[in-house]
Amino acid sequence: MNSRALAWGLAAVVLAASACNKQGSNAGQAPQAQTRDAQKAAGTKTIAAGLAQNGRFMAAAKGAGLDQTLAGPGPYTVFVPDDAAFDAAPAGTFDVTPQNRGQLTGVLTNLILPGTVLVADIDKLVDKNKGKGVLATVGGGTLTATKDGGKTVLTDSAGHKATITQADEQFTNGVVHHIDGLLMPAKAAAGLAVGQKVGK
Amino acid sequence: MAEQAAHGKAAREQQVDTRIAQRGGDQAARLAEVQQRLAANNPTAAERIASFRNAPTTFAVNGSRGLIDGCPPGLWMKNNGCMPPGQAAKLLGTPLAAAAAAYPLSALPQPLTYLYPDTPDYYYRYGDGYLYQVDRGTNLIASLLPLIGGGYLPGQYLPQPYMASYVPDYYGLNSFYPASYGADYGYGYENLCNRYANGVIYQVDCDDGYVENVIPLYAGGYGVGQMLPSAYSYYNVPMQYRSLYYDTPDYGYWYAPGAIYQYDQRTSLITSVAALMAPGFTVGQQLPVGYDVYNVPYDYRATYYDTPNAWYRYNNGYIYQVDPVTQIVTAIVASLLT
Repeated sequence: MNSRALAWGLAAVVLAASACNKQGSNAGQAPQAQTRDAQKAAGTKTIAAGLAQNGRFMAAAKGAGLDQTLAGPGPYTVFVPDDAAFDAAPAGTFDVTPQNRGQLTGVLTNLILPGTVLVADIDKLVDKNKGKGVLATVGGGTLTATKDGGKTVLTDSAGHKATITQADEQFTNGVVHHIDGLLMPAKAAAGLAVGQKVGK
Repeated sequence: MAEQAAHGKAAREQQVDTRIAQRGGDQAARLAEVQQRLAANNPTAAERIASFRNAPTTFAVNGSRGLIDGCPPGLWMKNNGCMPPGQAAKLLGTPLAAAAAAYPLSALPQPLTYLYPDTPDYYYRYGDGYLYQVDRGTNLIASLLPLIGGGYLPGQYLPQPYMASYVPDYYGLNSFYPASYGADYGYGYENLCNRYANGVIYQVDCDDGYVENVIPLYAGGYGVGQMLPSAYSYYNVPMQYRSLYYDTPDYGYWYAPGAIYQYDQRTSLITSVAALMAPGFTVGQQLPVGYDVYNVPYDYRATYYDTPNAWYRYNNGYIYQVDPVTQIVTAIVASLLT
């Protein structure tokens, strides 16, 4: 009898553990990478765990299914706009509805660079290229970096500008720079109209 | 005389057999050559194309086009029921009970509920490749989301206006999914075209638009919350990520340009993004625009720092060496994940 109770108890523990594993992106809990090996490779202090869990950026990342990505090994360089910048965005930009998930994903991946890029690295590129450096994002677009009064400024393809206000927040899977404005992806990357001819 | 004729016939047959064998050999050699060239240019593309090459044999199960057991092939292969979009659309405005009586419906698995959260006004039910949004007040089906792509499924015909809509170039996607494949791609590619509509790539017959495969694009509007295209149920994660993202009884992993996705094994719905992949570069290629910024991870900076003779750049799990003068990527010098 005792052994049966023990077996049920063990089964309950195993079930609970597997449920926890599945729910790595639960509200209030820092997201975790999808597998144990990915978690190990990402380290303990990940970007996903380090950013404010109740902030607008993480809410948007969760809506696009990118929260666990930022808990993975990466490394990524993430430009995180202040919550105030999110408020200034056109209405509906960050809606987490299934219909808006594509646009939301496009906006977020336009704020992420592959690898670890410190502000000193960006500044060095800007200096080398006569005041202007181009940065490729994982969303497939580019951002342009310049210097203004000693600060590093990023510009998107539509001309929106954002200044890096807090630089080089280092994590085990990359680096975060906080910016004071929102940068949007190029229109083409956000999705094309039916019948529109692009590429070959 | 009869013996001579028989002998002649046998000789002719042998000749034909030799020619067929030779042709087969030529084709095999050509395929190997293409494969080699592709591998040299881009290992990932080669891997994908090698896997895709097997797709036509899968589709040839029924020997002809059209429906299998009344299902489009893509849905038939899912083995979880099937319903063409036109028929599904008729369920709009009908009571959920009526739909559930005709097709088995269930609640979404727990890990997917965050993608389609219930609200005080609506809740969701899933079945047959569609998600039904149900009005709580009336229990009527308020809207329908096709989970496999933009609405056209394998076995249907892509409408004519979409046939002039090509794969965008913004992600290098049009080189991964070209408008059509050259003669040297060989069997299975003769008449295959890639077209794009509403965030989805359709691999179609170039002449009549018969949809052979549906590939939802991530940043184009699909991906998380979508159903994995049936032809992509094989494991294709790039080598350097395989020790991290491997299939389990609950979840599988699938690579497409831009990301490695995690999907739910039971429903084939994409649950999250495991890793974001940059369009990036490979050895032998010129460093693309936007990659001249130094981006090597901290732990490797002491070893791989830029000098007048060599630059180092990180991309998709590897550190590459670049010639600063020609800007050509010359070698992979470190693998971070393996």
